[in-house]
Amino acid sequence: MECDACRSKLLEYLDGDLTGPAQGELEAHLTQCPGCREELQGIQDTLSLIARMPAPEPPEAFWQQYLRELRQKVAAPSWPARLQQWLAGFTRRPIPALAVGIALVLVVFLTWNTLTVQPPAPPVASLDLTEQLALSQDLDLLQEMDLLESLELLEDWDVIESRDIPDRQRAA
Amino acid sequence: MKEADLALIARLRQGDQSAFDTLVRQHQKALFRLAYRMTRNADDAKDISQEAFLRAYRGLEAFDGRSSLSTWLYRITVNLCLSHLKQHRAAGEGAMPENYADPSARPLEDLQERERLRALSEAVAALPPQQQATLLLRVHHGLPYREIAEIMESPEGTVRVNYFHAVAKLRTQLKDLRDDV
Ligand SMILES: [Zn+2]
Repeated sequence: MECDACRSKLLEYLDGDLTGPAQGELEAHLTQCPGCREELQGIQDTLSLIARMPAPEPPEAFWQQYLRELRQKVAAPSWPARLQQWLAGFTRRPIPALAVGIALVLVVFLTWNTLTVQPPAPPVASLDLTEQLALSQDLDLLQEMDLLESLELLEDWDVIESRDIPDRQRAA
Repeated sequence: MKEADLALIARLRQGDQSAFDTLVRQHQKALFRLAYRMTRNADDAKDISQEAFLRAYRGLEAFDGRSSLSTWLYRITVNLCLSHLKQHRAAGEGAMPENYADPSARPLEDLQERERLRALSEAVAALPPQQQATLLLRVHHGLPYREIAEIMESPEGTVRVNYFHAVAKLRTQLKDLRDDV
C-alpha cells in the first residue's frame, strides 16, 4: 500500500468503517511506515482537541430564566392567533368594529386613490379625514390600529398615523 | 421514532404546558451548545436555541415524525445557525470568540494548549458552514453519519466528505501552527 492511499483512509479507519482485507492492508502499512503512524497520531490529536473545544456551562438559574422566557413567547399569540382574536373582537364589540370598519373603507379608498390618481393625493387631505376619525378614539381604535398595522394588509395605515408626523418633524 | 417521543408529541399537541417544559429541558443544552459553537456567542446561542424550540412548537402540526424529535430540533437549529452565519459573514463580521467562563472546565494545562485551542476555534469558524455543522454534530454531539445526513438534509456520502475535509483542514492548520512554534 502506498502512503497516499493509506492517509486517505485514516479517518475511515478511526471511524471503524474499514473492515476485512482493507483494514488488514492499512494496519500492515502502519506497522512499517513511521510517517503514516505519525499522521494517524496527528489526526487523533486533532479530533481530541476538537472535542475539548470549550462551550459555556450556564448555571441552573440561566436555564430557569431561559424556560420562563420561552413559556412567555409560546403564550404570546402567534400571527394567525392574533388575527383570529382581532376578528373575534370585531363581532364582540360592534362599536369599535364600526370605527375600524370606517377606517378600513377609508384606507381602501386612499390606497385606491394613491394608485390611480396622478399625482397622488397630498397627505394633507388624509389628515382631514383622519381628524374626523379621531373623534372615535374612545372606541378602542388606537388599540386596534396596533394590530392592524402588524397585519401588513394595509401599508397605508401610515397615512392615518400621519397625524403624528408634524410632531416628529418638529422634533427633527 | 421512540415511544417517549411519540408520547411527548401527543401531549404537546394537546397543549400540555408541562410537555413543552419537558421538551425544552431535554434538549436545551445540546441546542444551546451547538448554536454556541457555531456562532461563538452566548447571546446568539440563547436566541437561536429558543427560536428553535418556538418554531418546533408552532410547527408541531407539520412534524411528520419520520425523524426523531432530537433530529428535528437539531435540523431547525442548524438552519437557524446557517442563516445567522450567512448574514454575519456577508456583513463582513469576523465573529470573535467570547471570553467564556466555563466553571466545569479544568484549568488549561499550559499556554500551548490554550494557544492551540484558540487557533482551532478560529480554524473551525473559518470552515464552510456546512462542514462546520457536520464536524460539530459528529465530534461534540457524537451523532452517526446517517443522523447528520437527516439533519443536514444531505446524502450520507456528502456528510462523510464534509467531515473528512473539515478534519483534514484542521489537522493541516494545527500542524502548521506546531511547525511555526
Ligand atoms: Zn506510509
